[in-house]
Amino acid sequence: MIMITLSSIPSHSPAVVYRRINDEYLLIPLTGNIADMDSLYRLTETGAFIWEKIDGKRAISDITSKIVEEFDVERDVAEKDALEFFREIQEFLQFREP
Amino acid sequence: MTVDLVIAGRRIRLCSREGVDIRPDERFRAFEMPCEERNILFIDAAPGILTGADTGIPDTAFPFIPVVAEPDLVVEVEPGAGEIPAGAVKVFDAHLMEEVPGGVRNSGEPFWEVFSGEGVTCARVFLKDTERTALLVMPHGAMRWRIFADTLHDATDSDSPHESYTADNLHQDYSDKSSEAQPQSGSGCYNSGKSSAPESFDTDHLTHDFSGDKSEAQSHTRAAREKHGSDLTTDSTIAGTTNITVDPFPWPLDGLLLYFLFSRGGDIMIHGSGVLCGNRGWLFTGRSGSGKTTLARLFDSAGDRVIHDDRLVLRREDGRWMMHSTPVYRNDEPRSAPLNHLWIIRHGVANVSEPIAGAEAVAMILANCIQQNWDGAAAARLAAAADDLAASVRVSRLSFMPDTTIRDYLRLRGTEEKQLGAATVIEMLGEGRTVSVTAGGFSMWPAIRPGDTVVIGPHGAGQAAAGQIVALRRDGGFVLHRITRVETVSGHQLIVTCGDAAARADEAAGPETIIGVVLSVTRAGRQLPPPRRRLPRWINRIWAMVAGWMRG
Repeated sequence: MIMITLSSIPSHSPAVVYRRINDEYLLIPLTGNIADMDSLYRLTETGAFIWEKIDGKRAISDITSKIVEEFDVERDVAEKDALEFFREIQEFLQFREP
Repeated sequence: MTVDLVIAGRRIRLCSREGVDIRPDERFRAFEMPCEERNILFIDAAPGILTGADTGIPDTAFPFIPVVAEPDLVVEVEPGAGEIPAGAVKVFDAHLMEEVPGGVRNSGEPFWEVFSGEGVTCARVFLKDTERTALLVMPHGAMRWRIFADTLHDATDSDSPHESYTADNLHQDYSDKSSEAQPQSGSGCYNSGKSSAPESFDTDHLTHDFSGDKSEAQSHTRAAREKHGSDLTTDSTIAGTTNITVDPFPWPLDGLLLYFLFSRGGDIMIHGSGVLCGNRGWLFTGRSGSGKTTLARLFDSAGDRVIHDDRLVLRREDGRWMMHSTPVYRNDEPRSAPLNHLWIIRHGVANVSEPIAGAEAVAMILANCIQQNWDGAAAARLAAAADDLAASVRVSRLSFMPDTTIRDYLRLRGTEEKQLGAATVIEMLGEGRTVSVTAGGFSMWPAIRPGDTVVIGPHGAGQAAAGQIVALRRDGGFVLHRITRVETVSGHQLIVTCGDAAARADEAAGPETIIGVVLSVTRAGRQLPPPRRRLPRWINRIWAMVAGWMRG
């Protein structure tokens, strides 16, 4: 289990194919190079906003700042939700510490 | 020798060297086409000339210049052994499934496997005689592939007229590679590595010929292989010379070749039943046991044209999506129809349809596609095609009762939406009344989504303004689009409209095309607030939705 904190820097995993569809994202995991169509994920509009902020340079805390700028949400709530989000989709991401 | 097959509009040219005859299996017979075709330029150059049955004059009375048709794919067919290119590693292997009471189980026996190397992908299948394999070699970027239709592993078979591998060197070869590559193991079903249940074919013949021989050609079970496996290569004496006759597509190599061909072309192969009911093309897709064959039989009995009831190819052609049959059963033939509506089906206690759109619709389509993607590019290509499909044709979930009521339900539903409902709305708005309608299209996504309740009021003259969502007359009915621009040209007002999700604006038209203005949109019983962005759920796991709905 990876320890994901606000200082963690996420990047998109090469083991996922993603596609923007309207205001959402569809994530297709390539499990061991086999596209697993039975385990597709959909990111809703807010999830898509975060997904697009993942660039391998920004830490989760930086992305949280973007969320607070964009949405009507308190920072402590945004931090909690962002960490929950990253933990839920960690199989589609890679993390490094600064 | 050269044999052309035209499958789902793609011409596959099978070639062999002298002394090797190509004889495709019976199920390809109706798909064989002449390599030469009539020179269309001649017909175009002489308008008004009719030939054949139209004139009573035989076609041969008209001179024409035969031209060799351009193939989409050339396949060199070899009777001998194939060799996995040096450096290629196994990236996937599928095992044969065994039918057991209540379902199927993985037998653990090899069925087919895929190797990937520098600039080349290979697929090797294990035939009925498990010591025989066939090999498909596909260089990347080239549409000239090779099939080695028969490999004898047994060294004692060295008297065979064709080349052979020994069991030892073959096994040594890929056991080494598999230990390096750690390939994925699959069930052998085309749908995905996880899927396990092959189609359950009924043995009853249907009333029409489309499924007279439900021969389990695509089932990956031991029983299917027993039936399809055959002596692939035989010697025959023709005019005193010994020729080798080769089945170029030993099952299940045909399905793999077609998959790779269509996948690389951006097409979609999907499990489903496609029917043409009146002028409407409907495709029913779903997991094994969801009712695809049942629906095909119902529509067939009613006299509708069944395109295919198991495996179809979907392709965008001339701006619209078409569905095509593929050779699965012994009496299949080329059939095609436009695709207007795709239904994700399951059995139910009532006939109920529910439109879906966006990522959910794309996910539902992908979950039923035939795919063996071991690389991201193939998965991305398929996702792009499914996205375009979902944006171009209507997609709905459909629970249905397995009787004739479902056909009536779908036919009446279409009529109601297209004609009766629209005419009534136009009439009421013309009388100055306010009407409430249920949205069914995607062009205004996400402002208006399928299933939303839209209240439309009369639109007063001179009130058109950019930003308004208005009802516009269109094809005997109406559409809801947003006004993007209001212009005055030579003293006449012109309205430019566009669907929020549409790539291009509508043609500018006069204000008389506006029959009403959208007053409110209600979704799930709640009138939508102004478009302030809110924090919804971060993520939806489609898996739960797909599995829960489809298997529930």
